[in-house]
Amino acid sequence: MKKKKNAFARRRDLIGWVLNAPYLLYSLVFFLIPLIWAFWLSMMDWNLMSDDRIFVGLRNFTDLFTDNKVQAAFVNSYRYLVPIVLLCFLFGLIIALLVSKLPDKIKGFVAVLFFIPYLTSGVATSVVVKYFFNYNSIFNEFLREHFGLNINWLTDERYAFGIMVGIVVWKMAGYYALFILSGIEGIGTDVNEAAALDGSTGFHKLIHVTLPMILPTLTTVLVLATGLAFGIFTEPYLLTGGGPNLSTTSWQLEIYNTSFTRFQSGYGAAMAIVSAVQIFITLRIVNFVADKLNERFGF
Amino acid sequence: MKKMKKLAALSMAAAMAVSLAACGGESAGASSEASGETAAESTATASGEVIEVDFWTAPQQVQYDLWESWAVEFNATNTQVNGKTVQVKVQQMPESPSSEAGIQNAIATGTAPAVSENVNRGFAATLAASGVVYDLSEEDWFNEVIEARQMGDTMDAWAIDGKQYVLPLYVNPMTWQWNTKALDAMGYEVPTTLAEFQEIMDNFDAKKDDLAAVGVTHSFYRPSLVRPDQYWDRWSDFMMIYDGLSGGKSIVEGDTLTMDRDAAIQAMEVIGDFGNSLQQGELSSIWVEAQPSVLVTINAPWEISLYHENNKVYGVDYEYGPALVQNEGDTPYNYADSKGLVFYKTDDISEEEHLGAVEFVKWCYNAENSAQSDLEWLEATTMLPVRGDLNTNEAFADIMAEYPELAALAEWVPCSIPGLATDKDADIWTAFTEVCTSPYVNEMSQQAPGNAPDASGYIDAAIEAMKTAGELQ
Repeated sequence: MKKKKNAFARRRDLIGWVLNAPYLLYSLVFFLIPLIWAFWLSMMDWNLMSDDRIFVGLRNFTDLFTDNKVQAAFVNSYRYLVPIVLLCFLFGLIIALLVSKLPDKIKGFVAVLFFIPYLTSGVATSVVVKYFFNYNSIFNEFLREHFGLNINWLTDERYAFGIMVGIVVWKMAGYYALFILSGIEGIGTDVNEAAALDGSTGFHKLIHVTLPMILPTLTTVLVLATGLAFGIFTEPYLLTGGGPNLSTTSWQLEIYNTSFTRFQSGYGAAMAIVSAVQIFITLRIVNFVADKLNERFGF
Repeated sequence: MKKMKKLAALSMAAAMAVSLAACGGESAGASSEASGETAAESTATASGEVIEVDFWTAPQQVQYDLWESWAVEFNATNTQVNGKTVQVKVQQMPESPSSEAGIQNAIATGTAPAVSENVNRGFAATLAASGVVYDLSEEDWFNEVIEARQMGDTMDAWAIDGKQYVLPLYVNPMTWQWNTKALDAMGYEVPTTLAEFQEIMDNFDAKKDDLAAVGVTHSFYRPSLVRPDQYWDRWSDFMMIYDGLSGGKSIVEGDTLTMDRDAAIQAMEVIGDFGNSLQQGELSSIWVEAQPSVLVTINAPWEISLYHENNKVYGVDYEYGPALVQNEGDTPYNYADSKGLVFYKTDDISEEEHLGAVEFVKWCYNAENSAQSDLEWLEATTMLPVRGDLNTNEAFADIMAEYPELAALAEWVPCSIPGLATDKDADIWTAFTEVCTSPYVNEMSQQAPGNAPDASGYIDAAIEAMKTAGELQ
């Protein structure tokens, strides 16, 4: 009997391995091997072209600590994180609440409208923004003629960073709103009726009923928005180049410039690994805080 | 039931395996397609009848069309190497994410072409330092092409560690592009010396009303002065000004920074003279506006056709001015925006492919065909081919008459100096912009035109930063 059971278990294990093999193979080829290769590359002084591959040990990593571009990318990732997470969350919530109040007939249509910016190419958006803030754009001509304001939007630190954040929030808020909307729609009618019977309406209901009920969804939005803040590239690449004075630069932009403009592929790999560590730690912290909140509300 | 489950599991696994295999097959096919290879031609190669030569053009369609037409003509000649027919396959180089990065990626993955255009001296130095391009100095055919195109005077400036790796194709002497109507409104001619330029800037504010009448609000358009990521613009602004004022002194020789400090300070202070009249906001299509809003920009010869399409007349709406010099009659050395061909040397490119590539380039630029090829290039791109007889060879007379601006630029081709011969070119100019032009522009923006702040501190900081970034002495 025991022998028969073992044979069954072996067959079950085998099927499990067979079924998982494609994913394991995929992970091996597209994740594990590149990761190992990136670690190896990060210890080299190599431009990917030369036959001379100079092993430099941890020098690329130690150099990162004194690199002002890396320091700026590190700090900026949190400068981006805070407003992007807060504003995406806020606007996503507002959009979701507004859409949830619409008649069922048009709810889906309106939700899709808010989703369109997410589908829009970052390049197209950046080009439009660039033209909008051009010195000779209608907007700037209007400001000069009516208010005497002559602002170099993309070369002035005070405005350039805000414009980057604004583009990302505009693009992503509608996307996150769909998550939140699905959470709100998932709240049972019994809960809403109970809240109504208890006299909980409006803002009180939002804080004490709606938000706690959709906390797992909000956690997802929080984590996604955090990851988003670390992945910013297109907007500063096309609009500011990371300037002025590195105020809008990001990890992705610096990794790109290092690896593909200055051809310091080893150093670029070291930057990529350190940025991945920063993202991992930050996400763990965000998850930890979110889990505590979820536990508190019984999720 | 158990059998059914087992069958279902096996079926699913098989389906996944097949789909993965299909993906792999598709990918291989796509790769083959991307390299321009067809099955029939692969067979021909294997049978030893045809040598396929991959040629990468610049990402611009106009250049692809031109090279493709030449390749079709060349392939029809059935040129032989080792008894095999050379067939050239032309494709645009991938910009992933830049053309240089596309080449880097191709070399790293063993998919580099035998030959490509669109390589400047700085990137050629990187390729040469990596040992992935052929040294052409001792090749007879190369020297014949140099002779046919009368490029002898130009080639010294292209040397990298005393060797030649690039066959230069075109050169845009980067100089000033002046707003003729604005200069007329101010009562000045195009300046040629530093003193003449300074006189114009000293009077810029005083002539503001006259300038406003022709739509001019700013003196100079150059927002990239504060953008280290656009380091390449330092080639055509700072380097151009420096080349003119230093008499063409080199900035880097070997592993030594040789930049003339005094000339560098003067060059920065030329930029400083624009003061708060520098246009730092982004503008689009300045020179096709009814009234361009700036007095001067750096020229952009690749836009000449656009100006013609918009009825802009050279000498009426705009005109090129030479790089500023110290004294009347000095040679106006300037920066050469110039790119050329390199032949790649990797394990994946066979000797026969290389020889086939050489045959193609020889065919394009030999004594018999070079003038016609260069004429077709000029007509297609409005970028000057690198040759010493542009203003004297009858073949170019018609187009020079049609485009007087090209004739003006051709005068400065012999004194055009290409970029630095160092694989740290990008690092050097990024560092220069970070510690010099960017903070200097911030300071000069507080000053009226003609009152350039002292640039010596910025240049001293730049010298140290350039040495560090470029690993120079």
